[in-house]
Amino acid sequence: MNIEKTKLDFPILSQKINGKDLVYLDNSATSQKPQIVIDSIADYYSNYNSNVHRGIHTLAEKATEKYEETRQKVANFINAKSVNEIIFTKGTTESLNFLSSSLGKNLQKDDEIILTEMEHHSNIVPWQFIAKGKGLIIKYIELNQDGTLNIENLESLINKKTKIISLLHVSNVLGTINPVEKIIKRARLVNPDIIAVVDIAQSVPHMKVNVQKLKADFVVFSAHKMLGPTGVGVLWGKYELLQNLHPFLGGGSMIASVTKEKTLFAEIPQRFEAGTPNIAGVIGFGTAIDYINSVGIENIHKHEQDLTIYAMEQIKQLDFIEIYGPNERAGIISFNIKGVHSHDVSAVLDNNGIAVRSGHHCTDILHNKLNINSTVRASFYLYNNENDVDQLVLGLKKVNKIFK
Amino acid sequence: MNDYTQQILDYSQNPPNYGKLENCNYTLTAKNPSCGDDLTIFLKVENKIITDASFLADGCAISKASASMLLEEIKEKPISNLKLVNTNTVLNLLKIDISKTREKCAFLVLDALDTIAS
Repeated sequence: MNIEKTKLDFPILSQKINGKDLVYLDNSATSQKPQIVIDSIADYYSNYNSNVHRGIHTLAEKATEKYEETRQKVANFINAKSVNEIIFTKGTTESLNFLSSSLGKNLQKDDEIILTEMEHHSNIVPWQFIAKGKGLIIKYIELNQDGTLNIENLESLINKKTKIISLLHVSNVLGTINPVEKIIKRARLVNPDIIAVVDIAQSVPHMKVNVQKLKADFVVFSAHKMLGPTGVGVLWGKYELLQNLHPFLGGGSMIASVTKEKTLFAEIPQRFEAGTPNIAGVIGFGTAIDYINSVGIENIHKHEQDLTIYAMEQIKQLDFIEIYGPNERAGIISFNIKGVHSHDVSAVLDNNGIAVRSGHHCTDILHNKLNINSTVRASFYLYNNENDVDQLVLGLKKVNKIFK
Repeated sequence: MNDYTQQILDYSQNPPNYGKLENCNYTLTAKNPSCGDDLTIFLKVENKIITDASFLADGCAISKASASMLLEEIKEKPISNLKLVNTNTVLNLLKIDISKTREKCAFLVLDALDTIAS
């Protein structure tokens, strides 16, 4: 991969922040967008803005065609069996609320849901909503201090009342890559009827994810973390399970017929996409997938793995830093400078043009478990290089000097 | 832009009025949910005068400095003076420009003091 050339595809990266070249290391929060994605959105609004699945006119047909093209691209990207298994939402959070709400309709009092202590709030709060209303029990797979999941006694958490297991593939804080396939397989040995939901928001932008291999029933992710626009998410589900799923939102587009008494639903996937969708966003997402495919997801993965190993080596040499999480990880490194609050670290880094995230990254349970208030997080993508890591290390030395 | 003036660093690293106050009349807390920062303020009030004040904080330099400075400002003054304390009071004490994203840190102390009325 030619990273210098790749950087040029992203107009935002060529600017200066506080007089310094921007070093963007907040990719787990959101990725930057290549010019072709920005152009494809402008092209839609400039040349064929129209609603989808409705009008019989040239603009509407082109908009519908481009919108549906993205559905096919997404299906191919994650190896879905059918294009109809891809449902567009407004993001991972909406996808998870959709699932908790719709799967929750079939649950009874005392049924159990398995989550993990490293989940993002988006994979906790929606399940708490339905658990409270229906009297369901939520159990958590524990987090080890090394940032991996404690699955030694996984089977003891699962019984015939366990209906759903929902967990993330890659931790947005620790970079931990969970053995999702193994966890689902073992859970189903105890109870074959468990429905498995996997949040792949932090994995699918960076590595090949094959939903068939993952053994999941549903996966959820967001476009904006993989070079696409904000406001577009995906819910993939096995077709036979989608057939039994109640729609999350009701309204236009999702119906076959409406009378005063009742509504017959449209076919899948339209059934699950009520209202006018984020058409420009979905079209831009399609272009983002084209871009990723042109670079190659395997190449992106290899590059990020090399960069992460380099970054871990460099940061570990700084004796004032504490790193959290396992050695083997995706391109996400969370850490603290001893005695300095994460906000102060990121503010000084920002003065030096370096963008990182600080705070608890929507993972209160994880931070409480590790007994830390907050962390600084650096996360990589295909346009980052060793120079970005070197700038980060220099910046951290400056922070340490200021607060010493 | 430099948020970390010597004054801010001094106040955040060795903040005056830091610690728990025994025999206080008021324990006021505020939390910043976006970063998990925690602030607790202790006030001792006698004859409507704030005779002593202290704080405990798990937070950034800006939030600690602003709490420490503001407590110095309100100490040994009538408790009714709290009504006059606002974001400008804090900004004048800090003597730095506060960006939109750091406002929550700088003004966390006001959130805590505001709970006195409720």
